[in-house]
Amino acid sequence: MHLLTPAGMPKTLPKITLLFAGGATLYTEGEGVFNLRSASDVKQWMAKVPELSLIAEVEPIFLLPDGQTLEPEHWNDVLGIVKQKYAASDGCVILQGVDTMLSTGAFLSFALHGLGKPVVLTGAPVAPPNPQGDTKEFMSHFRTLGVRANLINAVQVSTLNLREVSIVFGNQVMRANRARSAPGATFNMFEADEVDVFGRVDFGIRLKSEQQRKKDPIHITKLKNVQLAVVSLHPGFKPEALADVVREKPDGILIQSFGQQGVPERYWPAIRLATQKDIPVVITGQGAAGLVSQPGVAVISHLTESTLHAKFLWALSKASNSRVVLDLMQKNAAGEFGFLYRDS
Amino acid sequence: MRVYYFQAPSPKPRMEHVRADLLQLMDTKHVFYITNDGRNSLDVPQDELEALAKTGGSMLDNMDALVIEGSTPDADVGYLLAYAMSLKKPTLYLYDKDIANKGVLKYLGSRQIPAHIKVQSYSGSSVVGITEKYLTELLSSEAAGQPTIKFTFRITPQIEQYLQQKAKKTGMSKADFLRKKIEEDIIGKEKK
Repeated sequence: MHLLTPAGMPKTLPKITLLFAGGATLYTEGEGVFNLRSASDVKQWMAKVPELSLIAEVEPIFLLPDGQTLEPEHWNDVLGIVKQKYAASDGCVILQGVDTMLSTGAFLSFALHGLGKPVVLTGAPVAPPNPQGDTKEFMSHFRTLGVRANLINAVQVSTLNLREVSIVFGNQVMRANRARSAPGATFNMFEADEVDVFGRVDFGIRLKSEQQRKKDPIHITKLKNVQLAVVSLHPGFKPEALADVVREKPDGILIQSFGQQGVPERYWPAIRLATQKDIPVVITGQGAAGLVSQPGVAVISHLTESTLHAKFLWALSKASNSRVVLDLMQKNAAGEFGFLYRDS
Repeated sequence: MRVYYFQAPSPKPRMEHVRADLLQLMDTKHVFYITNDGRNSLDVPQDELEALAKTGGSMLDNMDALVIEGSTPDADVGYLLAYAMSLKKPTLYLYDKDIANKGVLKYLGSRQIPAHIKVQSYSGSSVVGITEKYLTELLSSEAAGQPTIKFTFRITPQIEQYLQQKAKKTGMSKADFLRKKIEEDIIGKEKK
């Protein structure tokens, strides 16, 4: 072992909040897998990643153990921690499982108003239990399966000038509310259109463009206890089933339609019943682009599934009037419509 | 062998000489390099770039070693060192004794890093000799594979003197010299 003499380091390192929220499984060559099970493991976990201290002064905060999924019920805890640490830190990295990363990222992008610093989500890639074929080759190709490489990249991004909620995974830095799951077994478990990629990892991390940081206070919209009904229409789905959903009086209804003709006529009586009860209805799906919004019903066809769901929860938490909710749903709030609404 | 060379921009003219000297050294030793300011002797094949983009790997993953001239403060230095630690990538970290910021040394001075990251201070033109020795060792270990088995081997003072002379002449360590001799003169001849 040598003593590190980092003559080329800046005088002071950025201060970063590292939130453990269920995605911190660590793989160390020769030592195997280390799972973070409780807050008391954090010190040991941090000792296994000493290299982080070369990039930033990291303050770890424990929220969930590895293996536990970060669900909407935890989003307010995450918001609270981000807000509490916001003024004193230069950025925040959230380590969570990959299954709900898109939803968390999307919700945070709406719920953190006036974000002036980076909030970065990343986690440990999930290795299939019985790798076969391409997957087996993929696994043997990488020496550091686990959170390590993603974490270093995420912490570095959290020190850069980016006023966005982003996902850093594999070699990409993406707008969280425009990211989607990627096919195939690679380290790039998420992907986004080129316009929604903020930067890439090659010999370092370069952002396509930098955004001046802001020091203004941040405002958050906490998730309220709202009931959002998600109905997936499909051939054979009975209109009465949709009417039953309406009669339960949820706070909002998200309808995923099918086919090229929007929503088949047989479902419209139930939808009209919802509007009469002042329940905001959002219709999406491959045929939705051909529909037009009408009072009480918004048609949205350019958001990812995770983002649409998260945005609806955010809008219902922010407003109680159905017209205002649908107005929020149709307006660009955090770049979620991609290039379509980039300037609005 | 592929090396990524990083040196932060500096207003000091002598730092430009350091960069030029080290790149010339790499050319002489037939070491392919890519630098952070685009002075590359290596054209990465397109199919390799496409494979990296697809699998989610980083270009750093595909380098055999890093050489970082870290005398000038730069946030990328910390990132590169962290990545190198994480990937167990052989790395030579150089800094000029006369320029290095002592305040920063105080800040993280006692942090330990693994043996595959070699930290070397230099003064003036000694940077070339230090780097040459490092690259020679690296090329030698690359050719032979990393030696991992350790055993005690007692030698006479005459052999010790001979090894010292050879080490000085070849720029190799005594151990590397012996390993090379065993491979070439004993194993190599037996194979023939």
